Amino acid sequence: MIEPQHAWDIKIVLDLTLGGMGVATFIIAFLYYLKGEKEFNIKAALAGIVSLLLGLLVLITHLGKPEAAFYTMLTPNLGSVMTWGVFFNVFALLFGGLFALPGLIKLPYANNEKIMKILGTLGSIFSFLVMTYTGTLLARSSIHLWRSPATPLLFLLVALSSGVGLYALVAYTLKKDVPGELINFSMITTLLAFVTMTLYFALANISTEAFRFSVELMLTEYMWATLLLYLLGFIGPFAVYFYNKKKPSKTNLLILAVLLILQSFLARYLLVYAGAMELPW
Amino acid sequence: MVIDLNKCVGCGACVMACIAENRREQAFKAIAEGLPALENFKKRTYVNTYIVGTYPNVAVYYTHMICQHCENPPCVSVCPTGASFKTKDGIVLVDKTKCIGCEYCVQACPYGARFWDPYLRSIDKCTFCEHRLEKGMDPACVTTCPTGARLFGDLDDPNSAISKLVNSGATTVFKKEEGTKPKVFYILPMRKR
Repeated sequence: MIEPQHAWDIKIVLDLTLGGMGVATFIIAFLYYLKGEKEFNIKAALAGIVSLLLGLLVLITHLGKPEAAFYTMLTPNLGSVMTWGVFFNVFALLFGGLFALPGLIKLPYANNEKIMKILGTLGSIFSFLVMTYTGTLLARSSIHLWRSPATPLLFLLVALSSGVGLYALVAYTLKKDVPGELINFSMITTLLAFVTMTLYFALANISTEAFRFSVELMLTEYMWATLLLYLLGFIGPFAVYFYNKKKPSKTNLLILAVLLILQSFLARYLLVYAGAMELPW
Repeated sequence: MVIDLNKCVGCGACVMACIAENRREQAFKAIAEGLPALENFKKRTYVNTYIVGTYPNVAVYYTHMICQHCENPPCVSVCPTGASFKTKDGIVLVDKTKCIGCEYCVQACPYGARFWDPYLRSIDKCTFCEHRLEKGMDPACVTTCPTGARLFGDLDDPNSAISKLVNSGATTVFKKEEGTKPKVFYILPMRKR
């Protein structure tokens, strides 16, 4: 008997999307901070940390017993991907938050370049670990669709895409330019995410029954999400990108940013909701 | 535990015994809440009925869902707080205080044996009636089964009836490929009713 999973829902999708997007934005912002533009990139990093924090808050509301969450740190099971994720999130929030807070309030260390670089580096390392652990978390389950090295890879790619998206949104809001190389980079991640996602469909025939069931779900019950992902998440960004090459405008970049964020949300939505379990009875 | 599916008549006494023994309070609450709560009421063990074939060659058989108390339980390895654990006797249990309700174990269990209990506010599952075992009794489902379809015993004791049965080669486990090494063995239905 094969059953779609019901334990994880939209809250998990939102947590994964907001978290992945937030940490990717933080890393991008820190890299550009190192390149020279300080003030804006601290604000962009702050947006990333806020996104991560929002994701974690959504996650906590999903927990059946949120008040017991401290046990993840009190009696951690170090063999669990989730435990590592908790630590990565906490450290990303801690170091990333300390790096980004000067974008909101005046702090004594804000002008100390050395401290800021240390905080940013540590924040980026833990942000990268957050970005990689989410897909691994899903891959370490009994759900055949998720249980593949493609899942962490896809999640990493869409996190980077959406990270560029949020960075571009902050740039648009603060009337700053988005570096062209970053937009090019988001096209590479989009292309790779497209290939990775398509492989799920391409390999379904030679996969397990539960995997095929999940792919069938994507092509029936969740066909709308699959279509939206391909149209808005993959084709859309390319269309806007090439259009922007011909007629550059800030509005194009705004649309591109939104589409990149949608790409991450829809890919994660599809994977989470199409997850199915093969039971022996 | 060995479950002989040939002996099962699908009466569901094991399911009711389990509820009465382990989930009585939750059942009363669900009854008080009405039909939707009853429809969503989760059981630690349940029996599925399968009808196969077409008239006049129709057959029916039953399968039993229960926690497999795996030797390599994936639910234990994924639990972030250590709430899911294995006792020295090999029984997989949940520490309800430590359970945060992330339901990662639900996703990790290849047998779908775990569920979130909104009344307990914890993950719940079969415990092999650990409290009864401590008193030298068998699990409630084993005691109740009118046909003796469920057999319980010590697999570490080579002279126990269950060890002899398992070692005879008559039993099998589900999802061997997962590498979980389940400790619930099945005798598959040979004769269809």
